[in-house]
Amino acid sequence: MAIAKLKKLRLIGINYERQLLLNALAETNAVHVKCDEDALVAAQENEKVADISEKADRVEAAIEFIESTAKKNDKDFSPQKEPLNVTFDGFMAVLDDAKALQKTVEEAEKLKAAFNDVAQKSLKIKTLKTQVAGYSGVDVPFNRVKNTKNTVAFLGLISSGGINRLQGFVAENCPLTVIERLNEQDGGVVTFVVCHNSEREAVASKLAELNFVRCPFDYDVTPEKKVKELEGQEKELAEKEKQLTADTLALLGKDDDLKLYYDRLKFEKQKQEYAVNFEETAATFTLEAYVPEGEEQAVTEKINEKTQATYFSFEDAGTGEEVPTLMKNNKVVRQFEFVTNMYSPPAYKEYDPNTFVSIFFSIFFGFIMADIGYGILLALGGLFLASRKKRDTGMRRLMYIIGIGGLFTILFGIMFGSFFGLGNEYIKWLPDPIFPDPVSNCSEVLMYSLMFGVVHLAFAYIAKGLTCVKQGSVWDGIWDGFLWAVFFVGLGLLFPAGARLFFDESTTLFGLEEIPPMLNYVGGGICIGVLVIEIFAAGRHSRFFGKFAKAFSTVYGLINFFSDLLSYARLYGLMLSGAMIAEIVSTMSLDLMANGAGGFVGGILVLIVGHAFNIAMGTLGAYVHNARLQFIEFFGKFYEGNGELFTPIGSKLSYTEVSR
Amino acid sequence: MLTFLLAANNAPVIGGLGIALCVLMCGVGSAFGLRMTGVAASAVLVEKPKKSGSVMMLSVLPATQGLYGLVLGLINYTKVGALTGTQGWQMFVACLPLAIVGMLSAILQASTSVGGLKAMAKSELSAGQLMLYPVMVETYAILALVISIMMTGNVA
Repeated sequence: MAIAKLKKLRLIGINYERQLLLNALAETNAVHVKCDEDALVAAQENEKVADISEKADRVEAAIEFIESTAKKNDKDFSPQKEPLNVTFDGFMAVLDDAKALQKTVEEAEKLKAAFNDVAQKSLKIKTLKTQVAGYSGVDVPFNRVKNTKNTVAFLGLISSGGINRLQGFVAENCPLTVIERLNEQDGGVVTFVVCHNSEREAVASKLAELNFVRCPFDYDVTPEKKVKELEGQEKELAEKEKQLTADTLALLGKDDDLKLYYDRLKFEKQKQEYAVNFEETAATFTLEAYVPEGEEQAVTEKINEKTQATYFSFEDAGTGEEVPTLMKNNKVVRQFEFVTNMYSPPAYKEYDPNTFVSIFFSIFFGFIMADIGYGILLALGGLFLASRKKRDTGMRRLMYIIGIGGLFTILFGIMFGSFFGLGNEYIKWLPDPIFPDPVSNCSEVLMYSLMFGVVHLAFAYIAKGLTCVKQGSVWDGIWDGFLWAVFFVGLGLLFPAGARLFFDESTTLFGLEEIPPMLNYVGGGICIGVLVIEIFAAGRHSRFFGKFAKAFSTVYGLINFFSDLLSYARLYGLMLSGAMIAEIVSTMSLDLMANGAGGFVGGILVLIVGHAFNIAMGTLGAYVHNARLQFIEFFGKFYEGNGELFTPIGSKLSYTEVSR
Repeated sequence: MLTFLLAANNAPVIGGLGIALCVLMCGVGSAFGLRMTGVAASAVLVEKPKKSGSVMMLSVLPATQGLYGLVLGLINYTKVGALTGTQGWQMFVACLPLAIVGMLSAILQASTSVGGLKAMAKSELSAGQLMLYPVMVETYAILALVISIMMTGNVA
């Protein structure tokens, strides 16, 4: 359970065999090609890379379009989440059908454009239909409303208040003007006004003043007929859309092929990005990569199988360069890499913290949830959901973490004697609790949660020591790491006395009614002894005034210790709030269920909804606050991270799993 | 009013008020803080939906102060009935550090988290790296928790 040792591969090959060699290295699934981030970004400017990138984007857009159309037409449709399994040779052969696949992509693009066109036209017609329908009161063709030799006609919209004022104005000033109210619509009242030429100016100016909006239409049909015409067009567009949908759904059968094609293009793009950055001469190129120790033979055989016209060698990965990190952990610890990587993957020369993270994350999770019933649900639910996912994704690892956390939740549930918030006064088969009741023994359980912090911080310093040893500085490991871990052992021994000092004389930890004086002497002695040694050791790399400064900061750093320690009080707070809610939900449900049939049903509902809510909120808090303790309090003591994960060439695929 | 406030048999009321205020103010601070980070988190997820886990880590940080208020309340609520004389005021004053610092630090921590969320939207920085800055704000809530626990422990 560590970071795997890597070997550096240096290879010189012939330019025209570049693709052949990269394919061979990809087939081993054990070669991480060296290429820094800036070079990869710069490679996007390269014409070939840009061309492949554009092709891949078009394929992805086609896949999204086909799947979204399928989803719109069938609510039960869901895109396949499981990866497409294919052999390496099959994966490489995908480009043999590139022409046909590209044709499918173009077909999808045409259909998408046609869909957009139909959607735009439908929207236009719908808007026009609404506007024309607003003139339902007009029973003549639009173009019949026009001026004659002696009269002027106005057809349009005016507000309800406006038409009243217009009528008043006309009654007073325009005896040769007639107003007809046709119909009302959302925008106002459709009004027809006709006046003699002599009153034209007055009427026109009054209409302008009242914000009269003239009818824009001059169709040679009535509004009713026009609306029918537009409905006909809408029907035609709907038929066309149906046909386009059917044509798109017909492409669903080629969805898997397109996904393979997309991944194949991604692989080509990756090779091109690397190739652009190789050192090269007129005829040859140089490649640097990393290979896990033990895989050199397999890589050698694969290269030799493809070509003999190459020179390559393996050497130990250097200390001065950025070597990728390949973690080799067992199946349980591997899931917790998800938590560590959320902060940052470990650097190659660092100590792999995942073993410690897996242990403490699970313990803290179990302590916070601490209930047998919750633990069973979490363990079963998490492990079941994880087993259903074939691909090693972040979600699968998270489900495993929750499942493992569920097992620890059962363990702490037994220690606290809690089953869905109820103790053995309700559930007779529950064993007597080992931990005191968190509600009535606040100070004790709070001190236990702080004790977890002491242990956690001690291990943080052990990890610090191990990191220094791995990097070759044994003495730094002792002074900066292991010795501080001993300090925390001493601090732990002082906890029973400290609890009585901070709270009251009745606070008892570990069942110690009488605290043996030797415990305090040993604990105090260890703490003081380590502190004195550390004050002298702190300035070992400094000179003169620096030594005093380092010594002072060692003492000052004790404040940070206590601040870090108090952060672990959140474990108690989260645990307590969850436990109290669980107890309230269960007791409330039991009271309801004792009140007849209606109460029974209500009680079951309260039980299910209440506990479901509590499990959800508790799990969220247990995950987030737990991760924060790992990142800040634990990693803050020894961890730098900023490692680059070992990623074999050809392994970063979106839809495919290639078996080699 | 002064007679009421200084009356010995009102000590439980005064002391209880202090504890209630502490829990209330820390809870309100966390609620305001979570609202701020929740709004920012939604905006970040529109641009970077794959970062939901990291976004959640940063946005839940202001919840801590509410927990601290709850912890102090739970440690001390049983002492309220036994308070006499000036002990009520002692309890009230002892709860003030966490009440005030808890509330303000939750809101300030939230605004720091919002800055981290914005940084996450524009770069590939991880939650773990950005979390350090909001957590520094929380340090003072922890110190206030310590003092409040010590002071309330000396009351009854």
